[in-house]
Amino acid sequence: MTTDYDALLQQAKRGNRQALAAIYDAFQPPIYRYVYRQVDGEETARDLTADVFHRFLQALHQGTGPDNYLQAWLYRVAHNTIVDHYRRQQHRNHLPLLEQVISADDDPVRQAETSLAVAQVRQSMQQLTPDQQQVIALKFFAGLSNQEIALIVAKPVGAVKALQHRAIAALQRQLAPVQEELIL
Amino acid sequence: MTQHFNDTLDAALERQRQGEPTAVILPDYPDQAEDLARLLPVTAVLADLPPIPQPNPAAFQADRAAFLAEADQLLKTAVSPGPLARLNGWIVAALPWSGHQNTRQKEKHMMSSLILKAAVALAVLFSVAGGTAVTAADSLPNSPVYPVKIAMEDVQLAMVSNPETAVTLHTNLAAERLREMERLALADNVPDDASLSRLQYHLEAALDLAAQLPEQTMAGALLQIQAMIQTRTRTMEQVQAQAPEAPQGALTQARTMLQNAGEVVAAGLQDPQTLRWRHTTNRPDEAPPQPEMTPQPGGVISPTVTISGTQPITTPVRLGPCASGDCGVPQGEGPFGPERNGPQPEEPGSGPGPGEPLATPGTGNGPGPNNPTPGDCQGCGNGSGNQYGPQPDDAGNGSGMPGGSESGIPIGGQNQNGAQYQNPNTNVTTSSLPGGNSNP
Repeated sequence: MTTDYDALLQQAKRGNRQALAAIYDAFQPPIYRYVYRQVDGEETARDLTADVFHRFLQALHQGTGPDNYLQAWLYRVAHNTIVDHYRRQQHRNHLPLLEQVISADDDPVRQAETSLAVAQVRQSMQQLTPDQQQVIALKFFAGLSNQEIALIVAKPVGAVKALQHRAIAALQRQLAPVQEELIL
Repeated sequence: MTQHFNDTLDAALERQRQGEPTAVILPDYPDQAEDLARLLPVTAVLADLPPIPQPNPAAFQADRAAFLAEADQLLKTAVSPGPLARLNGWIVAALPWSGHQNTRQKEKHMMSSLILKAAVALAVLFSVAGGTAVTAADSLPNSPVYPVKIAMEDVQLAMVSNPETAVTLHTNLAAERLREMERLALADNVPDDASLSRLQYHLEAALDLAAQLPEQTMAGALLQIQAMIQTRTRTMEQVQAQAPEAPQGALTQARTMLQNAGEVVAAGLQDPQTLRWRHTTNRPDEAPPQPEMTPQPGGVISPTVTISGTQPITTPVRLGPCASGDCGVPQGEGPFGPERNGPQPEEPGSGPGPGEPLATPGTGNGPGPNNPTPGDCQGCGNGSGNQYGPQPDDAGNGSGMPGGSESGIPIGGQNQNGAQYQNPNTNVTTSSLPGGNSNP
């Protein structure tokens, strides 16, 4: 798969329009989902996703784009785009809203439980470090493997696992009271 | 221990993602079951979040079309760094403290090499050019850099527009020619004919230009010329007394030129109108008869009674602005208008003449001081040979120095009547000249 994307990337760097379209079709949906989980609203997610691919084109045009690992490059840009977005809005931490992920089809009890859990997750994640937030988002929102995350955050896989452990432990400390309440 | 637990947690999370219940996973990790039991419910919440809906197809297609449109626009230009981006990259890469890791070594080396080469080339160019100019300024006709000196003088002359300034410049250049001859003679070198020709040219040009000046300034210009002549004559006498036999002839000829010029100046100071009459080409119709004039090739008129050395030297007075090596413009059609005064050669460059020029490799033929016998003047419109014969500094490339262009930029002085002095330093040949006089 990586080889296929690398070949596409090389064609795109030579200005092949079809290769560019194929890259967009392959990566726009997961990037959109990744962004959507972390911002407030579909329109914002669309705008930021479009910004990611705009940066991709600009990088290719200026010769500063990736030579390989296209997926990692795109997620890294997406992460930076989200950070920039919240920086512009003067948010200390991103991931402000997770409410929108609640499905309208759930029953009221389930909606209430999920809403409460999501709200607590959001608050808990705001206590994480940026690296921990990124690892959790890539792992659980984008569904990437440790190897893929390692490429994106430019850290060894072992470091990714350590970040993951510390992030989940921090979340557990934040979420434990809520879980107890839900159990009770 | 911690590293081990990180791996255990990761393995358990993977199984959880595959859909295995926590109760199934924990028994497989009895040593870490307690910690896993605390953490896995947290990740279950994260994994249990509802899926994110894709934007509607219309929105997706709109975003896709916008992306491809932007790609099309960018692809119109080369997919490569822009000049500023490339320059910035080079600069960053060249900075040892920048820590720039992404610049290709190949490009870094190439840029370093280019910068180095450019710097060296500029340094050499400026040092050579500056050094040559300084060296040339004090050079003698037998020096390889002497043509540079002459070229610089020609540039000075071409840039002068004020007649009084031009008189001063020609006077100073005549003095410089004399100093060169003196130095050559004292070193037992014989000044060449080209040097005498240049001396003659500057003296005559200074006198002609002075003659065109208003009365209130003419006297001052003539006194300036006279002072130079007196100074150089005294010096020349001393040099002749010390110089060996070989250069005595050339020195005597130069002194004669000075003496004749001095006589013209003295006469002009006493009778400015006569001087003006003698040196004015667009005389009124009622003017008295002219001294006999000898038409020369290329519209050059040579007053036979002017400054001369051991024998009369025809002083060329160009009546047209053709200063280039290509004077093929028909008479009367030049930029200075159709009016011409004085004799007109019937054919371009068909005048009497010249003998074979010694200057090489020019193609023009002209009368040389050493070879006054009339001869053919074929193709006098081109080349570096001129009526003064050999020019040590002539490159013979047909382009010449100031005024050597096809635009007809004047060479040397141009009097108020449009008369133009032919600079023996240039590649001007004795060809026909376009119109003579722009002065109505």
